[in-house]
Amino acid sequence: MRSVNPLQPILTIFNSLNRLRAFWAVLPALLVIHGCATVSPTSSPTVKDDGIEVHDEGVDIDPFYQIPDKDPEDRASRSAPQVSSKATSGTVLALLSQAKEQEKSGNPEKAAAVLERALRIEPNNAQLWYRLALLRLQQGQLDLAKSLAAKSSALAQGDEGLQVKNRTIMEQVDLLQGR
Amino acid sequence: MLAISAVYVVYLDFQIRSQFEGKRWAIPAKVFARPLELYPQARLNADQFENELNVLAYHRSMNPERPGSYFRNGNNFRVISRPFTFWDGSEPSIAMQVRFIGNTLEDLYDAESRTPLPIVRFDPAIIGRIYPTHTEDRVLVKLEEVPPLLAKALIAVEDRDFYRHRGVSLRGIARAFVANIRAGSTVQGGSTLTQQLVKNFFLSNERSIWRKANEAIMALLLEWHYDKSEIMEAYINEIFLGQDGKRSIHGFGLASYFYFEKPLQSLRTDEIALLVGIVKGPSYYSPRRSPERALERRNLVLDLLVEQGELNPAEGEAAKAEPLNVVALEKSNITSYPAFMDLVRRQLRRDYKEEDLNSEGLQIFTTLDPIVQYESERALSKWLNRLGKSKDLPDSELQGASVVVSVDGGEVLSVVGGRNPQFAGFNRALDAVRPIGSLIKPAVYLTALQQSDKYTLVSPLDDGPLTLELENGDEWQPQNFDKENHGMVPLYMALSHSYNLSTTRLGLEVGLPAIIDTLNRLGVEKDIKPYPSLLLGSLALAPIEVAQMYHTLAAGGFRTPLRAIRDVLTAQGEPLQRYPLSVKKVVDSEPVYLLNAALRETARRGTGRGVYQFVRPDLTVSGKTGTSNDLRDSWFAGYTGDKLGIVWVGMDDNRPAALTGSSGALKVWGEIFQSINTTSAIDTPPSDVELVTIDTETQLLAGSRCDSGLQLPFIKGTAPLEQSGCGGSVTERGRAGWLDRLFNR
Repeated sequence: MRSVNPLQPILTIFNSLNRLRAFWAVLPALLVIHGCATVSPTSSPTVKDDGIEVHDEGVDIDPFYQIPDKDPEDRASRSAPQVSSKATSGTVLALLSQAKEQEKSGNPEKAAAVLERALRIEPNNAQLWYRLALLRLQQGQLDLAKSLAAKSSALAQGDEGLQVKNRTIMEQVDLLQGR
Repeated sequence: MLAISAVYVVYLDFQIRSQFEGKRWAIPAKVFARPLELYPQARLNADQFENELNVLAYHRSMNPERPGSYFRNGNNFRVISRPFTFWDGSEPSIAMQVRFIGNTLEDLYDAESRTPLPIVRFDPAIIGRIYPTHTEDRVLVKLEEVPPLLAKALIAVEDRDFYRHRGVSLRGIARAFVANIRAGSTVQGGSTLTQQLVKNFFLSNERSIWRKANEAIMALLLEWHYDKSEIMEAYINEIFLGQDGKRSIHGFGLASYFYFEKPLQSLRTDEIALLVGIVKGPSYYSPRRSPERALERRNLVLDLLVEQGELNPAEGEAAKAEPLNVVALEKSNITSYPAFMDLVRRQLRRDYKEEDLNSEGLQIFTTLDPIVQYESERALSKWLNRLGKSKDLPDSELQGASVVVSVDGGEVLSVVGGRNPQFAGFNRALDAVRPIGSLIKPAVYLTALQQSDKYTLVSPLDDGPLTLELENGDEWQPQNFDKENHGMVPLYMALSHSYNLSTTRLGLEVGLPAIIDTLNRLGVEKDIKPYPSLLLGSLALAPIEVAQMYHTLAAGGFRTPLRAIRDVLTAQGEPLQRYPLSVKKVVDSEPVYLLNAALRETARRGTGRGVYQFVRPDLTVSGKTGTSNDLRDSWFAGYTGDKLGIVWVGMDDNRPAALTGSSGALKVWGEIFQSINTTSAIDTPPSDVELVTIDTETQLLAGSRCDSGLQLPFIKGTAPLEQSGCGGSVTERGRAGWLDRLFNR
């Protein structure tokens, strides 16, 4: 009775797959396995960093690297990663681990939705913008990844570590886009 | 004769079938506000929280047991949330303990396990439904979802022979006839449920034998085509149960929200009995207008159910002991945000066909913040009344609009389209395209500040008389608002005092094409003509377009397309489409930082200083007033650390309202931002920017004897090197000397 046709789920993930297809043409191999994009081979500098690991075969991106897998309850008391001058709250840590779960079960858009929830709570948390940038990079949304990394950088004044990570993302995007 | 009758019956058959088929499957899209999220240290106080609970129709009770109920004792709450499925997962019902201290949520923990909760997301309020153009509204329910007691009660009260007759019941008519003769008036109708359904389809109140005959024929036809359960389902979804202004309340699904603000499945016995009682005459038995009559009718229904064995006497008595429990009308008024809904519809229409929106039962999750919306509506109405009176304008002539947006996500939190926010007419927030006056100036100054080798915040600008020769040979002599010339003024002051002469000179120096480029980058998507009058704001924009432009400034040079929708789920809760947060860096953060400092100065000591009659003194506000020619349009655009607000005030017919930006729109902005939760910007200058204290007399570095210092940001290497003697001699100092005076942040 109900016509479903005009309402095919046009999930944004499809868009990103389309964009991925565009640079399959440029780069010989790009595999999407278990939410990990492996881009190979690139001449990128070898940076072993939070979330992005560059090795001989390519680049592994894990947006939720270093986010603990445990239940949110007892994480509030843990030492949180320092972002700018303000510590990430237990609330945001709980959301980060939810996002990680969604990411692990192959739902990047759900992970993005959770990260956006966290950003509404701590909009100036440069770490969150960085996670979102990594997630978009992994989805192949390169321009967006680069802008998100720039946003993270703008908020991460004085946090040299995070600045380096964001620069890594921006360089990765330039490399993938052949700039 | 027989042939004519046959054709007539075929005609009726066609009519009734198309009505039945057409109505059964049209489920309007449901539109939700943003869900309230509770977490420790959230900025919220106890009263605001209770307001939110009221918007969600949570029931206050001494001993909350059911989802959707709460208990409050001062700053302490015990709340049982309702379960709900969102895009990124399902939220279970949680019994929680909440404590506030002042404007902060202090404690949040699980009431059963006594463990802290990191975050709780409430079910979102329904703010509207998208249904076909006629003013009908429906919450369709399936028969198997309906509480069994509802169907039983309908049969007991309205049509005892429902499962036995074929559409028309002679026994029912006879029984009614006897009852009516006994009472001496019409107390009982002989119509079957099927006949009532047919009557509802055609919505005619004409009392004639012809109508009765047609109804009877169509009822027989309906019974011939469809089985009893289909007819019962259609009846439950179709029957008229109330009126809300122009909106008719059809079906028990919607009526359940209309009267009790909860789904049909959650109704208790007494509530079901009330709805069934209302069927007989929704206006006569209106529980809001005639509560005693409605209560009596409800208890009659309950007695009947006990009499027929559907309830045991104890259940009947318990239900009769309940009060009516009907929610106040404004709470059930689920289409009360027409201007915001208009924006939602426009955004949806880009991606969906109209018929899918009003027939597929989509769930649309928007960014509307009910509290911000409420405060914006209140502020606009209050000040339009007050300003209108002060200008001796006839009532309701002065109009206005407002848009409030979140700085970081570009989420539209509220839209008010006019002084009567319930009126779904001309939506000024989206459609009043008016000259923006001095709201253009930040684009001019930003263009200049991007050339850091040429311009700093203290660059001297000439604010002397100016005559321009236009292309058509005419002469143009722009003037300042105060008709004065101010000589040489520093750049930040030309902006903060909104001087026209210096701005026009500066604009011509940097060039109109460069300014148009800046405007486009900021998000103005219009084709802009490079006329010099552009510099003083001849450009006409709607408030929502101004919001997009200023949002990019508020967000530090990152453009985010404004969003009113977060995501869309199917009726079954399957993810369909998301409108993700996207940002694009369009202007370098350094010049934007400089501009924001000048706009902060505008709100502190310039044309926007009136805002501090409203907001707390420590709140950082960057703002700009705008006034168009002959005082026709009054604008204010301003932002804090987390929210941006745009207000327009003027007349629909473009007559002068005799208000400047600061005497009109600014007041509305101030009132809104005084009432909503908002925070200061976290001030971290970009790494290439340094903060330097300037002597405001000489625009040189402030020396130790200066008492009129102003701290301003400069791109490194562009700050003045000379130190002001402040009455003494001017001394030149090396970099090392004045570096000591920098603020270390």
